[in-house]
Amino acid sequence: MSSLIDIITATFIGAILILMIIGINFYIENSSREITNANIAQMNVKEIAEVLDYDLYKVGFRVPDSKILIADSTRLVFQSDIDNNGKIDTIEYVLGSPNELTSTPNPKDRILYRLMNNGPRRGSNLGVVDFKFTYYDSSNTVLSYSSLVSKTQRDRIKAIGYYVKVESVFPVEGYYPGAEIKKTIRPKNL
Amino acid sequence: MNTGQTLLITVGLLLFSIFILTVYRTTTSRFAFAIANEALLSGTAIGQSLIDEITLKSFDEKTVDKVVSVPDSLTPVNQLGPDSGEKDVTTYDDIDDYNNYERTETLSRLGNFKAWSKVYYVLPNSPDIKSGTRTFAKKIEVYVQNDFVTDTVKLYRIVTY
Repeated sequence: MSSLIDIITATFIGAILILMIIGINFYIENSSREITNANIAQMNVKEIAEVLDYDLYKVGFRVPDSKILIADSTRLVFQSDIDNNGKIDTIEYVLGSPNELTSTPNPKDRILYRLMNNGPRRGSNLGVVDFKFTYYDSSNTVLSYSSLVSKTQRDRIKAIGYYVKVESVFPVEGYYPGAEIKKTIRPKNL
Repeated sequence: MNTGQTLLITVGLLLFSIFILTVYRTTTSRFAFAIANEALLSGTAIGQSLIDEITLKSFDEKTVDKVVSVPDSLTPVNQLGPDSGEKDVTTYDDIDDYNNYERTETLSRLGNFKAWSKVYYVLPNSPDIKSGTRTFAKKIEVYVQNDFVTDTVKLYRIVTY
């Protein structure tokens, strides 16, 4: 009788231990994936911000007129001698549609395209889920998107703000780790 | 099961519990580092935006529409801050209007980022030293704080006239 109780107790303790080991194994694996994905999202958001900063600081460089051609919430077209070769270039940023990335598990990810001189749409999936431009005049007042259809209003733009939110393409336990950044650039040539 | 076996099982479970707690603690600190990194990235961007905004203003209220040739013509040290009629950022026109200025930026993931600035005169030849008198050099200090940043982000820029 005593040995039977010993066997039952040992089996019970063994089962608990195995369950704990399986649980901790899942936890380590999920947290590791979540942290790795969060780090990737941070790197992606930093890369996007660096490219945007580089371009936006140069808006209107060597352009006498019509420095900004289109100014919308997710689309910006501006002119600048971006590569410093004496020739004015047209740069366009536009956010793609979520329908372009239906094969990825994240339903919200989109491609942020950068087009130069109306060239082909180029951009890789960095997991952008939210992206918005904001435009300010010289007194730091936000200009409404509807007013920026007019060239006179676009000429009032003195600062361009952007907000980027990036999420991982693959979920971890149904959650998409991400990162975000918000910055306002004041191009010297506006 | 004798006492020795029970003791061995107890010690084993105790060691395993310590292991599990260590794993949880390590993972939690890795999460905290990841979030702090993100907050640092966002906080620095917010700070840079503010410092850029301030730098583009005139050096002093007295230099907005005329040229000043001697430092004593500038705003007195004890009057650095918004001038009369300048009630908010849309009416600020010179650097020192942002002295003791504060704003809050809100991001969806990390919440509120409190950014504030200080502007004061510094010695032109030793810009790290605060000047008690008017000079042609001002230092802009911008601080950013967020619940996830372990320390306050501090950025500064020196502007000369």
